[in-house]
Amino acid sequence: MELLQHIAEFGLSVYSHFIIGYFILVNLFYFTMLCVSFAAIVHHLRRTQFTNHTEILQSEFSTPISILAPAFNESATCIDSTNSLLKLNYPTMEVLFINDGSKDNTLDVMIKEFSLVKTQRVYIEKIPTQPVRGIYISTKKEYKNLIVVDKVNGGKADALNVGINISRYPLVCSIDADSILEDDALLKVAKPFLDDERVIAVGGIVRIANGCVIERGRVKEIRLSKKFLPSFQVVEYFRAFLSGRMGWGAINGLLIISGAFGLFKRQVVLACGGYKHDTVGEDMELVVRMHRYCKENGIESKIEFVPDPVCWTEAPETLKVLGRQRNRWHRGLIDTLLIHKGMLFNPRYEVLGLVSVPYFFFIEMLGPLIEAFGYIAVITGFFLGIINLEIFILFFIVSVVYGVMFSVGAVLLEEISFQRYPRTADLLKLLLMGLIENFGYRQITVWWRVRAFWDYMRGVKTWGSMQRVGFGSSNRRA
Amino acid sequence: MTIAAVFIIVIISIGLIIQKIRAGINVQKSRKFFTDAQLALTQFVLAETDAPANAPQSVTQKNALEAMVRQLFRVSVEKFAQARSHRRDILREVMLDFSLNLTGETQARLDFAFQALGFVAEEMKAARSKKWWIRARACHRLRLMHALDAIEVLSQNLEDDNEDVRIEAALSLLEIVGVGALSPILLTIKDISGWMRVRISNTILGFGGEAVPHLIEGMKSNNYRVKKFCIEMLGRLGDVSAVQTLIEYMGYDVPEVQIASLEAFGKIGDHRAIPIIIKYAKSENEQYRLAAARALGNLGSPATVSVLNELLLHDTIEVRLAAAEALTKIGQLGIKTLEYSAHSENEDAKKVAIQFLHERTVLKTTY
Repeated sequence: MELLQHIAEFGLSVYSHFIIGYFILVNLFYFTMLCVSFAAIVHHLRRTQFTNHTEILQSEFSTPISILAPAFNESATCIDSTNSLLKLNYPTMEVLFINDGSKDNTLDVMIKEFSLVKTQRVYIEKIPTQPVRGIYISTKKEYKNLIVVDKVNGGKADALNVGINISRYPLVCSIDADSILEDDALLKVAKPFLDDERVIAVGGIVRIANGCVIERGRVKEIRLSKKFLPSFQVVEYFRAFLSGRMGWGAINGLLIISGAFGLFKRQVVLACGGYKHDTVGEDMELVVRMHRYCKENGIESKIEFVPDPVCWTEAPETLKVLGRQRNRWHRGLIDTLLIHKGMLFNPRYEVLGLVSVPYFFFIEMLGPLIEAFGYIAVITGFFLGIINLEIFILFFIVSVVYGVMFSVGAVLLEEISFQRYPRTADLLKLLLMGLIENFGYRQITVWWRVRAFWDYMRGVKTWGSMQRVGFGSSNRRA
Repeated sequence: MTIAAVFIIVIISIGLIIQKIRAGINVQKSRKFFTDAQLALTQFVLAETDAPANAPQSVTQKNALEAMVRQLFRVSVEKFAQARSHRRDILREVMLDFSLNLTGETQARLDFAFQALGFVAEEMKAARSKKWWIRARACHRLRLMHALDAIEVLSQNLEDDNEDVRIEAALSLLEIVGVGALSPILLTIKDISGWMRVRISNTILGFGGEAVPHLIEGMKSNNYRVKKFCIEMLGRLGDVSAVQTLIEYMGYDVPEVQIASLEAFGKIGDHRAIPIIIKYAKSENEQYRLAAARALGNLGSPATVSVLNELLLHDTIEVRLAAAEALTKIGQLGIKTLEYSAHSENEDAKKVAIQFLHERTVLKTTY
């Protein structure tokens, strides 16, 4: 018994030293990334002074864009979302609405609303996809930029690949059918391609629409949700986008462009083989593969993040739905990193191999496991009487303090830059959310991500249904 | 470290809240200054005076205008020029805002006020700052101030390391000097990005045909992107006087430049270019064939139908599609060729011909 006690004490001692080292490393990394993001945002804001996006709108030198909008059973929202896309400010663009074998009457609704006729258009299958049943164009001049594709169901990645095959323009923009792009979002996200011809992809910021006033597919008034869960996610998104992706973009180490809003060079996407079908993290996987393709073929490339072209999305409002979403995201992360494990610590991939992939592998992917083991070890140690309660409490306080510091840092980045939440009450609430998310919410998200490992090992590949309240024609989301 | 972190959190949080509240108060305060400045400025530009600001001025006229500036801003010009107040910044912003919408005598009077209040001198100094964003902003403001004195510093900034500074300097020179600045700009800049193309192209198009000789001169640049830009602009301006030079430049062995020339031929629409386009339509290079097919479509000459018909049989689908689209633009002869291809034995040519004929029928009857 005494021997067991000694072994437990030794194990716990080793683990506690590991945890402290890991904790310091992670926080140093977060702090560095916060500083890099801060510098990048300041640089971006300075450049914005000399950027009048109307000039892109008026210029024949803008790069044309094909917007890819995959849809599955979207009969209720497809008209609003398509109209909203067609009204975006951009000089030359086409909207490709891809009906991914919907079981409802999405296609019929589209045909009727937009006066579509089936064409004899040649489908060039550069990326293999499920069969295309028909390509439709409108007989009305005002919808001349709309192309509707009807295809056999194959999932979001397959629908996007069909869109890439059919698209005519050099840039392809992937969006979620249920997201709202701001009017100038395309102008802003396209600018890095004009700045530097090495840019192969650009991600834009995704913000949470819950709580905002939305009218006819446009965000009219920005407010925080009165509910806790969406508000926690607002702070999380600030951390992820403003103090995470902004920094990664600045050092050309960005591995994720949200599937909800990204712009890609079509030629490179085609060369890479398009979106992968058999992963739930197809958006991240494509970005990593594009990086990898360019590095392996000696092509100078950059993947950037721009913080102001906004895509509004609806965040889950129940723990059940949020849990499913986080589980899927984490499975996607695990899958992508394991597919591309050859990049880990590989100097051939420069920043990606030496910084980005190791960070995502050891901190983002394994972090939840380490944190969960920490909780278990502390509880076990406490009951075995081999842990000092005071030290545990102190450590917990320290971890909360650092967690809050990074949340406050992300809110600071938002306030010095875009100030999308104009009310002082919203700012106070955001700061408060940054504090209280550490007591319960953070632990729940750890649990969801730990479960994702189990699901991944079981070979679960499903997305899980994402019940949304939806953006009505005029609604105020609570 | 933890104490430091707590300290940072508290400081940032309090700072953010105070800043938010102060911002609200400052907006209200500034609004009054803005209104005052706008009123004073409106009176200044509309006031009746015998002293024309845009004509060569005598000392008396200059003094009269300075007196107006003094009177309207209720401060001595010299003292005001030295003051670095919040009000001064607001006044400058309002004046810059006004300059966007003024022309003629009122603009000249405003430009005089920029000089008299010391804003031009200040911006010229800022245009040499060590910080790029200050240099770029100064170049931008000098444009709005129509500062003739600033031509030298703006010309120097064309070679700046920062692109935004170069762009602002180029735009300012085009605004202040006019089309005459175009060829020196094109020959001075070492490279041109997509963003610079977007920004200066609208100004160049505004010059119309006057820009053509300057663009032809700009084609002597050592940078192929600048050459390509000049060719693209010539294409957009559609001036036939550029065709001979463009034909000569087809000998410049950079594909991007040659492809841009092919596209420009199509846009200009001069039939002298047909033989050279046909030569490239038969090239091994797919990109040349694509550009040639598009150019032939834009030219719309029935004499090119046989070449386009050959391109309909090309291995690459993109070339076939471009050829079919071009044939639809040529008129009846082109359509007849497509109808023939729609019944041909070559499946590839047949498919694209059917596609274009069908879409033409559907859209023609409804648009």
